[in-house]
Amino acid sequence: MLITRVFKFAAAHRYHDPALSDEENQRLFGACNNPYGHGHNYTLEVSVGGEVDPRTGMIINLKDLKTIVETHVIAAYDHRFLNYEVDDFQGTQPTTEQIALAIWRRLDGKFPSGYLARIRLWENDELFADVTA
Amino acid sequence: MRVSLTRIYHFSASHRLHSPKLDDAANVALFRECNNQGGHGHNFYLWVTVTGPLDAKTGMIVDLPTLDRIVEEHALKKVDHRFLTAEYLQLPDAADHPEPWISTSENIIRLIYPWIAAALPPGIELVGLRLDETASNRFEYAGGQPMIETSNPLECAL
Repeated sequence: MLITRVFKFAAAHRYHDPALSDEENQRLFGACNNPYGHGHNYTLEVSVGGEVDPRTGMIINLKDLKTIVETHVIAAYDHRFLNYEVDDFQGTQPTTEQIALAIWRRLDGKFPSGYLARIRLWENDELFADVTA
Repeated sequence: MRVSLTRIYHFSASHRLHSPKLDDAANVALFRECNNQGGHGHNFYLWVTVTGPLDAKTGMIVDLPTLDRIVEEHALKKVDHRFLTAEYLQLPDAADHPEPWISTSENIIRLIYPWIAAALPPGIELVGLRLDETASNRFEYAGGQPMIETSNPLECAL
């Protein structure tokens, strides 16, 4: 049994490896290397698994889930330039895969009941990354 | 822990659900409006999910233009803007398949799966496909399910 709540945040990013030349960066990352970055409206699905508490009928209180995700993820990422304002992507690029993994690490073990079962991060309507245990 | 990436593609194609082994009345009873002469069409959405090691430098499982090129050449080009019959798709004849191939989305997704799986670069694995035929009908396939043998095609539809 999984309960999933959807969150949204808007963020900017750029794919650029300072160890490579400008030409190599352009070739590797194309438009995602454009000098001032670009942005997305990200949609984040956080799925919590576990047993349903017979008293409350819940796996986890959704108010707690919302507060935890807003505190540990949304506050850090929303309306930010991910390359420069967040430490999660040193030595790599803030791709959909890496952001999803970083979100997993921020949330894993933080829930008072249930367990983190899946993170699904949509970069746009046609692309998402899943992290599962 | 596993990270997977899903990219959604689309193609427009027509099909007609019809078995040459049944007479017209049996086809209509089994497939109803999906048996209408000339077929009908859908805007299909194909979700392609892949996994593989996460490249530490690029942050990617697979480079998206590479994935797009593979799916375009090995899947989309074969089906987009086409009428999906066994003849057009050049499927093996009845000697190999006891039942004629019917262009349901269950069968289309199982056809597309090995096309993409075989074309992925080394180290990248196809986790599964999802094919949305309409907003209400979705089909998912993660590989490995054999054709069910039955001697009575009418039983399949129940």
